[in-house]
Amino acid sequence: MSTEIQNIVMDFNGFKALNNISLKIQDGEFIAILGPSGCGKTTLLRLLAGFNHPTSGEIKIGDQVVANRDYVLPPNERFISMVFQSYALWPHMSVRKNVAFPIKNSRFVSPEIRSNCDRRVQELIDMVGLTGMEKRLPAQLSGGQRQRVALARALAVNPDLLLMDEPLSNLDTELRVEMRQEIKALHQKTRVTVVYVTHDQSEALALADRIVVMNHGQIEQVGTPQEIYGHPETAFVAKFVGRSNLISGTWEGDAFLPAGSSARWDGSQIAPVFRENGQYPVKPEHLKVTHGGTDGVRAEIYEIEYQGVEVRMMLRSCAGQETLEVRYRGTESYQVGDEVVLTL
Amino acid sequence: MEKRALRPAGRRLSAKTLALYILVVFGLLAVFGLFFLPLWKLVEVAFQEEGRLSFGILQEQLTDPKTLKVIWDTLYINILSSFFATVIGVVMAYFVAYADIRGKKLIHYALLLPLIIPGYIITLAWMQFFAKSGFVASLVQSLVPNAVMPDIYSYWGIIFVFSVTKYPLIYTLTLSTFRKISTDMELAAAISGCNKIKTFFKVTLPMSLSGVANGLLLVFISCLDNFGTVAFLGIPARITVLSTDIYQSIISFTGNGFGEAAAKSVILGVIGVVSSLVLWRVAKMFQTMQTDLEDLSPRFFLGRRKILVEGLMWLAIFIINFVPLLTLIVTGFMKGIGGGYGLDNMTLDNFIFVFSNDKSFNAIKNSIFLGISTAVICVILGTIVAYLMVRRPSILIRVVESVISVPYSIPGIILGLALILTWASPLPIINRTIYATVFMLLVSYVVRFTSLQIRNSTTGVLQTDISMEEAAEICGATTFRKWTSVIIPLIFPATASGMGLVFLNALTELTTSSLLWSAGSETLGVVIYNYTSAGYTTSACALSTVVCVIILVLVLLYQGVSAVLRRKLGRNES
Repeated sequence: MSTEIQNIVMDFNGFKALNNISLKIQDGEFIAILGPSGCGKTTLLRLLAGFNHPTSGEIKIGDQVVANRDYVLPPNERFISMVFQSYALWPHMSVRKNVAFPIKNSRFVSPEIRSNCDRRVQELIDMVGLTGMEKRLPAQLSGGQRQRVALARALAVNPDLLLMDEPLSNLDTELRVEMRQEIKALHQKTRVTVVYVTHDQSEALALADRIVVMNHGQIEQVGTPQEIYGHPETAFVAKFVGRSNLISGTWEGDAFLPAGSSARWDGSQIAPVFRENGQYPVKPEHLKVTHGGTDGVRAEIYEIEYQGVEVRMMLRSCAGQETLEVRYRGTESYQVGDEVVLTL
Repeated sequence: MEKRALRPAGRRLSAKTLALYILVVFGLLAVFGLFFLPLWKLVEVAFQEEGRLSFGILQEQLTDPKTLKVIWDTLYINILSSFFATVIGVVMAYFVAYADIRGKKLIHYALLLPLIIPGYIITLAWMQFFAKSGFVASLVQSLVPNAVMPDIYSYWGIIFVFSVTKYPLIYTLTLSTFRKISTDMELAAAISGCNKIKTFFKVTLPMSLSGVANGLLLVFISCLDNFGTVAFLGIPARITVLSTDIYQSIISFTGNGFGEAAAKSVILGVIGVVSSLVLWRVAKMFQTMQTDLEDLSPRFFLGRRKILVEGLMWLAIFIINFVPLLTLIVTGFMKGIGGGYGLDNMTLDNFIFVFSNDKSFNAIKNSIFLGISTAVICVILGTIVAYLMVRRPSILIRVVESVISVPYSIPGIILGLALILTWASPLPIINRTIYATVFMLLVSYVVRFTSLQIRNSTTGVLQTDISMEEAAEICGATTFRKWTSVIIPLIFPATASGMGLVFLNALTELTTSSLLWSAGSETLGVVIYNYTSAGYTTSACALSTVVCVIILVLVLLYQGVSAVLRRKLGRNES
């Protein structure tokens, strides 16, 4: 069942948390909403859940309007489920009872799941790898195990739409990568439609079919992970995803001439907005560092940080005093204060 | 799916929202009628002469030397009592918080005893302790012939009993403040060259002053509120403080008794508000940065003196909290005062009397009924208000909460008078009055103790993350299911302890009951008070012993239930 968000505005006493958002989510799709904190991504998720109601606009799940400026369908009357950032497991219910709760309470659950509640619960507990822990209370589980219970509970009823609110942010780095894999596997197995909110670009890139990048209550860009990473369409996306440097210069057709250099960079793949602003986005790992020469951007190193696999350099361009970041993997050694030339 | 499942988002009026609005309006009217109107009536009576606004009665009171003496005595007794209570409370808190004494938990609970035993029972116990021909007196006289027991029916007697009953208020607040002072602060002082004593006066004490000031405020207000102790000890000695003075004005029925009592209530109220504001300012002034976590590990080690300190603390606890209660219980078993303490003077007759006498048996029945029904009504009302305050904050609900909290924070005698003024005349429409029935007492307890329940329920709701409720909604639970399966089980521990407190308070209430009781609607407090003032000491002691047993059972029950709950839930989810 597809979900459609049309011209949604969310106004909190004059502050526009969401400003005219429109988005269509296909059945079975994994959508990641990516953005910095305060960009409105959680507000959008809570609107889909039915916890808040929009100031204007319309949300449709399937053919049914679930929210517009006059009406809102309460969460328990939508066939959705959600994994909360804090997991929101009920501490007084065992793993089994937590997972069984939506099956017993949701009015949309299919008759065959409801009549085989116990079997369904066991199936889910097995699926998330918690066999043998059915009787434990949430307090007796580790962070990763709680996360799995939350997943099992959310998947129990086979919902039309599964919402996930930064589900991995409370886990440590190693576990986060592991759970990312499991979520991906679970999605491929169940083909449930997922809206996944995160501020972590690596999660979004790894998991999503499509990424929605948001900033200041607006959608900056919607696209596949490859599109978002490789071909940013706005300065914000370029900087937020992949930390691109925006090098200033002039455009001649598809060719870019960095300021203060004789280089000509091919810009046929660069989005129009950068051409209009006289900018060229380059990722830190795509810039090469050389001593001397005139075919690149001249810059002075002001900070060097050794990070093992690479060296992170912060530079100031000689032409425009712009701050640039480079991830250098070469063998030559550089010092703070060196003047270098950056090429593509 | 059709449209009817859609819920209005607050912009269009439907039958359901209209019903909700009507319910809200009725609820608000009920809250204001129950909690606000009585106090308004009281102020009206105090400031009205022949239907016009007038400061006449108040002026009369403030120029009457008798009233001025009463005000002076009130302040004198309260200030000294607060001082001594503070000394006891801070010293005890310091050792319990920081020293490496053993059996801390037991010492802690023993120190809290005066919080759960009603003040008038402890007063009655001390009366037996200091009785001229009592057990302790005969013990002392066998050691020192011709020794005379100090007279407890005196200023010092009242101050003494106040100090030993009110110190837990200071103790609990200071204890948690002491524990919250980060160990690093004290270590930093030590590194900078301070010894233990210097560290205490330069770092620990200044940082804990806000806790002490808050405790002081509670003690002062609690002494202003007190009726039992000053009535038991003050009336025989002709020492009158504001609360007993108001009581006597009301029951004397001479002249403009209600007007005078109302004016004095205003004076008492003003003293309460002014002292609260001053001490609140002081507490705020001393507010210092602290860690939120309580550090329970001991901070200084007594070494060989440990046994000495432990011994002294237990001795103090024993004398302050246990000996008087034991004297009370023993007196409850005595055939007659002065008949000696041999087994031949012991009997169960007093207890048989307490359960067979109409008045006292009525009191036991009434108080248990009142305790249970007050707790049930308060838990429903208080939890609804607490839930709305936390989850749907608005100016309206803040106002409602403030209005409900006033009757709890003013002295009980003022509330009693205010309720008489409001409820004595027949109710409109049904043209009957509940005045002089047990339901009058129920109303007064609900009005007084709902605020207590709100505080506890608020803790419960605050401890429950909103995502718990949202998860239930997302999982398809209806509002009813959400409450029964998720909210109620999760807020239960905090709510239940609130209920226990309300039950305990209602069971043993004396101040407002002493004004509102009537034949047939006696309560435990009222009957113990009447027995005592009529000289039936042994019966009063026996009934007090029964009350103590009920309280003990309740506390054990509570401890048992919460231990089971803790074990069941394991650690708290963090």
